[in-house]
Amino acid sequence: MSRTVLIVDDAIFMRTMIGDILKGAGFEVVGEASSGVEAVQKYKELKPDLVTMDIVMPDMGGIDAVKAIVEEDPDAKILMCSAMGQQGLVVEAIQAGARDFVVKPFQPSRVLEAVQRLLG
Amino acid sequence: MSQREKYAELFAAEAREHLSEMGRALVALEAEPGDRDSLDAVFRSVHTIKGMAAAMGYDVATRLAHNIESVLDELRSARRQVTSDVIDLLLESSDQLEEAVAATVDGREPADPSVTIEQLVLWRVSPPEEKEAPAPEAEEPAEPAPKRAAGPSSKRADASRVRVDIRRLDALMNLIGELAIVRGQLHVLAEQAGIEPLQNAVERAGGLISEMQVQVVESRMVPVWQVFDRFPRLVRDTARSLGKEVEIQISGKDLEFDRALLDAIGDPLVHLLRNSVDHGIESPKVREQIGKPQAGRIELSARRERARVVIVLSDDGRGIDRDRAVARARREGLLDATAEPTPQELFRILARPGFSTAKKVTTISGRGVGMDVVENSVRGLGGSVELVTEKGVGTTFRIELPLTIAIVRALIVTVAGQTYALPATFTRESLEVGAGDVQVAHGSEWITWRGGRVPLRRLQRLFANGSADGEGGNGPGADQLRLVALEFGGAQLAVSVDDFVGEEEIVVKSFNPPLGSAQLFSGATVRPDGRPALVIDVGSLS
Repeated sequence: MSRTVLIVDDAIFMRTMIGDILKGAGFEVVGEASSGVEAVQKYKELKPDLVTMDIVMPDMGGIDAVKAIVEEDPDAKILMCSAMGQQGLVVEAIQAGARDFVVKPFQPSRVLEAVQRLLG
Repeated sequence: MSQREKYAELFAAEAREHLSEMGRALVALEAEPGDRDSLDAVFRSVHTIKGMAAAMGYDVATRLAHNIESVLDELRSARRQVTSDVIDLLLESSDQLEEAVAATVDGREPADPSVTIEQLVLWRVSPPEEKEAPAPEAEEPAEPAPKRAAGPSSKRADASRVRVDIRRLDALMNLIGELAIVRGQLHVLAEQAGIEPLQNAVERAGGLISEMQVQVVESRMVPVWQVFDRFPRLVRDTARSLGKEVEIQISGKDLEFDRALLDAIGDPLVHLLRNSVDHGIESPKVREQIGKPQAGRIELSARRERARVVIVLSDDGRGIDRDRAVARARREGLLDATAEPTPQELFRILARPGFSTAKKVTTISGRGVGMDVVENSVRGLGGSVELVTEKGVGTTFRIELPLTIAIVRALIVTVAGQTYALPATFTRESLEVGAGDVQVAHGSEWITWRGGRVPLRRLQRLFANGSADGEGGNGPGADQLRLVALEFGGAQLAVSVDDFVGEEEIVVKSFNPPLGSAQLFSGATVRPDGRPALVIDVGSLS
């Protein structure tokens, strides 16, 4: 059974790229969200094995979304995908319950390593 | 259509949307400079473009977007006001960004963005500081010829050596970092499985991985003369432009340390050297009057102390008026009325932006601009700076750095349900004390450790924000406190934690570039169970 993933990013471009990387590794992309609000709602609906989360987004940023999702499901596995220059926010995200982070631009291998570590 | 073409098309479409959104929001911001929503909208658009451009490898657009974003950060943090000047600058830059995006999409070479980027950077570092001539390259023949240590390491063209691109070593280092994490996982799994031959094999593999780590770290080491050798020329040129005479003596040039550290420490040292020549060393006339040799003297040395590198830079100039600085720090409430600053605190006081005791601001240094950059760079590398100065006699800076930044031994602790790493360079002892052993004075808590009074910081309180269970307890019984004694730049400090997990070798993923001043964490590491732990920046606690 393939693992399921929810991809959260406000740019279609990024969602496509991350999706391609994960699909290539046998993941099933069960949902995409372009804002924090949408992410929280889709997480409840889809219960994916993994979430990739952007930080800077309109309508609730990634950090608040992590908090809301972890409150709902403390075992949620969330990987932050942040752009460079956001280190303070990465700290906040990890304290909020995110499990790891990768920094854009990322190499596919880095993303997959992080994901594999996360899912054990 | 290839995957790359697909991405390029998506990029073009989405970047254009964000560019027009950015233009709209900028105009709205100009009409209403306090409009937070518009400011945030501009930021989000630029940020998204930056992320996408970086992913595509569009260098010009990435750099432009990054620099625009940095200017917006200043506005968003309210450190700077929205003025029509900065709006003009942002509009111009967004035009340039649009051009860069269009060119890239059309397969043309984008126009050179350096003028725009320079303007963006200049705006950020204003009040303007004139750019000085770039420091000469190390390869350039310096005149008078610097007395290069005659040792064999200076110009060794040995057939048994090869040149390796530093990025390869970085990649190797990363891989070993990942291996170290897997080693931890294997170790846990083998324990669980309880198969002895498997456990032995894992142990052996673990030993080999550690050895490999050491080898790679060693291969990244370079002698410090690679950076220090350009300093004589720099000092000479700076001195000449000020009509001064300065001799510089460098020792410990053959000491080797991590390439990344050496690169990062170069600029802070240049700043301190310029500062010494400009503000430290007196003019030849003054020196003669007060009975000092006409030529001033600067000494720079590097040496190893345990797992640390110590760089000392001293001059025999006029020194810093310590009493004036301390008096001012007390007036501004930076220092208790009676407290005497430690050498490290003294540097921090003087490094504060705008806190300069120099009466005259020159183009070479002054205004205190830059000292804070020195402090931030060194702190970001996990080090510390101390300052000792005596009026009329001279000033000494002492910089302490870890030997390498990528792999460190760390004490793993838990605080309020989260795991954190304390770099072992700074930990001295873990101990348990009774709650009654904590004294309160001047509104702060203290404990007695090794015969001295040491301030206590409760990490539970410091890290409380963001954690689900808030303040949390301290160990099983609240009448016992678990503490870690730390030593940083000569100062001691105890922190309270909930539990000790153990000492481990960790691979630090740093949050680069190190910016900001009140950061509590210098990076993160992934633990064998796959969960992240934040690496505590010990310097920010003291």
